[in-house]
Amino acid sequence: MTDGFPSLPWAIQLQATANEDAEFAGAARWFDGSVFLRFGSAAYWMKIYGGRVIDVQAGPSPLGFTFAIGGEESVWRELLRDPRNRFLEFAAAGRLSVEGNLLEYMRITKAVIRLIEAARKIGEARP
Amino acid sequence: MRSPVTEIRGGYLEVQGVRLAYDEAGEGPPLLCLHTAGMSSLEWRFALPFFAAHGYRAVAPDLPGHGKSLLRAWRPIETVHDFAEVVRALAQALGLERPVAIGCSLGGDIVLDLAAHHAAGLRAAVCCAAGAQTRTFPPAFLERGREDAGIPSFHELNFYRGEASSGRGALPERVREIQWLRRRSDPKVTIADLTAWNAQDLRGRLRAVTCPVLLIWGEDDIACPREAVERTRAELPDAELVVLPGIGHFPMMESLEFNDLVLDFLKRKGI
Repeated sequence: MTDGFPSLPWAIQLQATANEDAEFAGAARWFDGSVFLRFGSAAYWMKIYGGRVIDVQAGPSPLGFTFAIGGEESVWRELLRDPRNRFLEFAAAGRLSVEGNLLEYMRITKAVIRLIEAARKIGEARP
Repeated sequence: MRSPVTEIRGGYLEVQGVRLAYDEAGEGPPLLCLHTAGMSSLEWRFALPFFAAHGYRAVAPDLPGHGKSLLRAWRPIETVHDFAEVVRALAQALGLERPVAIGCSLGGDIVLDLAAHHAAGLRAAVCCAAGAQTRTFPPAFLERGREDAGIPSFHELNFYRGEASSGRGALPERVREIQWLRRRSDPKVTIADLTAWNAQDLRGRLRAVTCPVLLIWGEDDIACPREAVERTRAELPDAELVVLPGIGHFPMMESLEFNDLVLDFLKRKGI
């Protein structure tokens, strides 16, 4: 499916969807950093500041990232399709990996969950 | 012979649709003991057997969202008056006829609210480390604290603040207990409690308090300024203030004098 998951338009849609979520805004209010999402061979960098995703880029940024969440594209698709948000289950099982500043990752657990929820809201379809 | 601890009984009841837990001990004129922000009835574990031994029925509830009490509608309460109405309903449900309301910090603010709105329903009030207006926390801190990410190391902060808020003369083992009790506080509930505490404003309402009031303030209290307590005393028609040297924000736990002080007040008021 052209421009569906994973693609830059999809990632930009993720930015917009997260930014519409008041729960995400509150949880990310005191985070100044970037999240690198790796969906198999595709990857997107998101800058988060002041409770909003303020920039999205395809591929890694020369600025690096605060933490990265990555896994096989098939695992992400399963996460997007499941009626329940199984992100923490997949992370605990090692099906999704988290690397970088793990303390910041833990500190904004709710914001990460809400970001994943925004991704699930979009699903795999073309935005 | 049973130890004093075993004299405390626990119970549950439903009030305003919320399952609440409480501890109680003894029989006699009812005393209703209210805990501080983020804490629970455990703060009264030393006082309850004492009052029971002196002929009172002492009841210490866990406020909604604290200890073993559930949240009301799964949202923390954010006003002192809402807490007061829950407490009043709980007292009625337990058959506490015109109790003496005793509270510390947030619990003390609740006692004042009860006295301001329902003075005839109280025999007397004992208010520790609290006042008619207790806007002591920076609003920005409370706003940040609404999210866990905005208040990292909340539990460590609460733990060390337990010592900082205790007086230089407090019993060391009691300070340790205060610290560990504070460490188990829920951040969301505690921040909501402090939001309620900050918004407390009964100025101009305390003339309606017809029951006698004992105000207790520890000289080392960093959380409640003496001026707030003095202003409260000035507005109350029938109030006395006792200042405890070397004691901080938790007189009922820190001080061995606290129980005798309250007992003396009750006896003098014919209760």
